[in-house]
Formats: sequence, structure tokens, C-alpha cells
Amino acid sequence: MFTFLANPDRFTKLTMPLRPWLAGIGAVLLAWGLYLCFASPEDYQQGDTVRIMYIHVPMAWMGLFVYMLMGVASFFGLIFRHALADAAAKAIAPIGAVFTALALLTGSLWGQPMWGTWWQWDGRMTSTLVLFLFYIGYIALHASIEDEQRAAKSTAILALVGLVNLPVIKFSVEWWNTLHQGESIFRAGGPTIAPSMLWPLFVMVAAVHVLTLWLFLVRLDSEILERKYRRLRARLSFN
Amino acid sequence: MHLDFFHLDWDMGRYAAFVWPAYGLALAGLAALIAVSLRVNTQRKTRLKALEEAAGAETGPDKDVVH
Repeated sequence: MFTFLANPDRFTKLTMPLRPWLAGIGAVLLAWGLYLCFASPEDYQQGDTVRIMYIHVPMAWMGLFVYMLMGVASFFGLIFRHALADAAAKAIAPIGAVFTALALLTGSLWGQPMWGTWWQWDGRMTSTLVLFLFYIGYIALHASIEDEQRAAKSTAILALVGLVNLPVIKFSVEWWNTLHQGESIFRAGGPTIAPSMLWPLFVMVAAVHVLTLWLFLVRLDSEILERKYRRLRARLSFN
Repeated sequence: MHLDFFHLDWDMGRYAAFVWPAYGLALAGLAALIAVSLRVNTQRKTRLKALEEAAGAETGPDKDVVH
């Protein structure tokens, strides 16, 4: 299947019809999720600041998930030289960078009223900042190398190195004494969050996933168009 | 003050200065990402089409390049 999808024209033809549906479903999920965010009760300890969780957590999860996808794409590009792998990693990187930045910013806005601080150099926050820096480094490195294949190779190596940060982020709240709270959803014994708060969270997570997939397809199409343009221009200037 | 649009409580009390900017930033960031992605996609489509027309050539289907 990966070989089948390596042809850019075939990939575009297959995924183009999906895009409007993904955009529509994502918009509906986002609207429903935002309604649930403000329809859910306030927390007995955190008051209305708990509503920040419904955007902070999906953004943070997507920042991690997108980087993992970027790492997988980079692996396929480096080892198997899959035609679209580098384009896929390059396309998805800015999405992950934006989500990680928003997770950091919304986390600060949540942290100040709850913890009394905008920032703390604890395990979770520091490793998430490192993740953001890896995203920025990846994007900057790609932009700085003119040759497509050299850029793909260099950035793939950087992306793979950054993968080691993902388990650090995930397990930081268990390994160290951190200001950031521990796992409260995916944990042995089940979630410690009430269903009235889990539903808005899961709907927002679903919305962000669908919108990410849509944006990824749009951006990957842009990368394919750019490569076609460069090749045609090179061919014309050679002639 | 209790505002009752769609029977939701929009009054965030003393946390309004944190909740509303968080939502504002998140939605603005998402909107900017979508706008830039769509704009770049449109620009590149237009640019490629113009180059193809200028060249009088079809790019044709790309060959598989998996080794």
C-alpha cells in the first residue's frame, strides 16, 4: 500500500475528494466541542479555569502525535526512500509546531491562576518546550538547505533524534516530582475525570484530529505542487 | 453578570482574564494555520498552472520513485 501511494498524482487523486468532508466534519466537531466546553460544569477546585483543559489537552496530545507521525514519515523517507515521505514530514511539521506552541501558551494561562506561576522548569513543561524547539529546528533546517534530497536526509535525521523526547514528555510526570499534574485519563483504574468533563474533552480531541488530517492533506498537496513546479522549471531552463 | 446565549454560562468570573485569552489564542492560531495553508495551496496551484501553460507542456503523471 505504501508503494501504491508513492505516486504523487495517484495520492492526490485518492485524497482530494476526502478533503471537503474532513473540513466539514472537523468544523461540526469543533462547533459541538466548543458548545460542550461551555455547557460543562465548572470544577469544584479549579472553577471555570477547567475549561482551558478542553483546548490545552487536545493541543498537547496533537503536538506529540504529530511529531510521532513526522518521525515515522522521516524513517520511511530515510530508510525506504518513499517518494512522499519527506513531503509528508515537511507538510505536517508546522501543524505540530502550532499545536505545541498553543499547548504551552494555554498551559501558562491555566498555570498562573492555579499554580501561581506562568512557567516552571519542571519535567513536563521543559520537555514540551524542547519538543517545540525540535519542530522549529526541523522547519528552519529544511528551509535553509536548497537541495531537496540533502534537506530531506538532514531533517529526517533531526526528526528521528527528537523522537527520544516523546517518552520523556509522556513519563515525565511519573519519573520526576513535577508541578504538572499526573495522568488523569489513560491510567490504571480508569480516568479520574467526571464524564461531564470527559465528553467535551474527547469531542475536542476528535475535532483536532480531523482538522489535522484535513490540513495535512492540504499541505501535502502544496508540497507535491511545489516539487512539480521546481522539476518543470528545471526542465525548461535546461532546454 | 449571567449571560444566557444558548443556555450557557459565559461568565467566567475572576478567571475571565485567563479563560478567554486561552480560547482566543487557540482559535486564532488554528484560523491562521488554516488560512495560511489554504492560501499557499491556492498560490502554488495557480503558479504551476501558469508555468504549464507557458511551457505548453503537460507535467504528466509522476513515475513511482521508490527504490
